[in-house]
Amino acid sequence: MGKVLRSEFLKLRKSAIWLLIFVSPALSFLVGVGESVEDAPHKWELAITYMAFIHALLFLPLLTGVFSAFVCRYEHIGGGWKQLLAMPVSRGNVYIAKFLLVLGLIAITQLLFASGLILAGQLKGFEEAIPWKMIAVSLLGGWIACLPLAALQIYVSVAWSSFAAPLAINVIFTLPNMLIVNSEKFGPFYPWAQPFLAMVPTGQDGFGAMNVTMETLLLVIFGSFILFFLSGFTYFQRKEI
Amino acid sequence: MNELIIETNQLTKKFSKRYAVENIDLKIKKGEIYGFLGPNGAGKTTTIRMLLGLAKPTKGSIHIFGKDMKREKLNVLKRVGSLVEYPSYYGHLNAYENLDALRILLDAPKSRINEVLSIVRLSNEAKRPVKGFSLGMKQRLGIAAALLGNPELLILDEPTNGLDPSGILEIRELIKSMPKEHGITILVSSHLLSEMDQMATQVGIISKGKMIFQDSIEALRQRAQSKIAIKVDQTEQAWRMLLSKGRQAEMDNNQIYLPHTSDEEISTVIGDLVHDHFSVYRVQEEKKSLEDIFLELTGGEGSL
Ligand SMILES: Nc1ncnc2c1ncn2[C@@H]1O[C@H](COP(=O)(O)OP(=O)(O)OP(=O)(O)O)[C@@H](O)[C@H]1O
Ligand SMILES: [Mg+2]
Repeated sequence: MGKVLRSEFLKLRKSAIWLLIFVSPALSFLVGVGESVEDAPHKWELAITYMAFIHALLFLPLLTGVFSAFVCRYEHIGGGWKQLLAMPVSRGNVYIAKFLLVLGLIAITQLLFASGLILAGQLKGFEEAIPWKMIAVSLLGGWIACLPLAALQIYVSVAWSSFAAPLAINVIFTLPNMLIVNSEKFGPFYPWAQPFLAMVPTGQDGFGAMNVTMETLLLVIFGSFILFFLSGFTYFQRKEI
Repeated sequence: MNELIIETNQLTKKFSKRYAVENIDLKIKKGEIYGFLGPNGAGKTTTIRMLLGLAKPTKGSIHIFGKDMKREKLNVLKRVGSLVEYPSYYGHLNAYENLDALRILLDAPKSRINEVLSIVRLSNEAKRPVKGFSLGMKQRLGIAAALLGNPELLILDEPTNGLDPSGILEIRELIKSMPKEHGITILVSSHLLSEMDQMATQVGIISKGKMIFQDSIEALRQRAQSKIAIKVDQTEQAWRMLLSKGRQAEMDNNQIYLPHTSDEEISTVIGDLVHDHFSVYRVQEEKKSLEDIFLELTGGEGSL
């Protein structure tokens, strides 16, 4: 497994993907700086919510799709699959390694997002202390909530040799997010909405699906993650190259 | 040297309703250069994909190094180098990094990268991104990748595809040298018989998914029996005269053909012709080329 990861990382390291991880944190940072939170009592909570509107509601689902498509793209275009799978490596390890790369990229994006948040708070001179715990919970929650989506997207990206098709589908499903997060019924079950629901701090007056408890959300997330991941994993085991 | 490196039994691959490969029994001995020949669409690549575990056989078994591919795939693949159909590469990496990504998987030492690059004469291009490579250069890189893990068995699917004549010559010499120097066994596919003629020790000919010939290259050459062609002024009369003397002559293309016979026989025939005042213009031996045999075997579908 270590070998496969090192090889995958080498291929990724030299690619253009690194520019993309800065996009969402940078834009969210601008939102954080721009939004007025002057009279609000919980400035950090409010800032993270505002920033999550652009980051978690829009970019995180999109990026999850892009990252997944990306780690498969260089195998599809150069005929890499047949060379890779004729090596003494198990298909399972290859699949897991690709998936871990996607999770790693999302994790880095999350950390950059947090840096943006803290920087925005400092610039605006929030007097409250930095709520490390809340930030950590939000980041981790957002990251975990990307698991089902990442599993779904990597499945589609492995199956489809086109780069654009999985992305187009991802965009189509991301766009209604705005409406779906308002629905208590559907929100928690919609993989594209889960990152936002998990990232927005609970404990304040939320709306729609934000009233769903963290426990329910996590249960749904892990359940669907296992389902999607195993489907993709078994598909890849049997795929004819 | 009678150890079988590759042995398949009734190997079959069906795509929906069509058989791409049907009941193939490959037998490849250690140290052989096995030329796997067949016209386009015959099933060469499909067979090779099954040998490498990229596609699942519909039926039949594969043993490589005596091991069942179904159960010991990774152990087998450790000792196999391959190039399937067209070369694989990562365009955003340079040649060196391309090989490094594979080297890691093979546990080969880093020094091996420069060795294989120099074998395929890419040392000077090692630091260039591969997306700027010509087809021939990518092909060389693919061959370098196949050699990376010091394989005992090389499976090369049309390795000279896209190479210029000097490249073809180099690769051919490389392939020929390997069994001698390292005891490597090689399966090389092609639709060019002439190419195989110059390097293969064994040949398997596949057509429409079926194996129609599998034997040594000498056995194939022996099928190339020659005929004697005689050109005279009045072909028809001369032919009738020879027939009347009980000779097995045939007439075709305004020439007379005799089956391969001894020098004395021929001189008697010529004597008869001259005696009857026919003008003999040419007497020549016409060898059936391997190409003709290939065309015969594959039912005229072979390419040149
Ligand atoms: N994935 C697939 N699905 C359906 N049919 C396929 C598939 N792959 C190959 N075939 C069919 O199987 C047959 C054999 O193809 P294959 O690629 O093995 O031929 P080949 O001998 O390698 O030919 P070439 O000299 O052109 O490379 C062809 O008729 C082809 O159309
Ligand atoms: Mg082929």
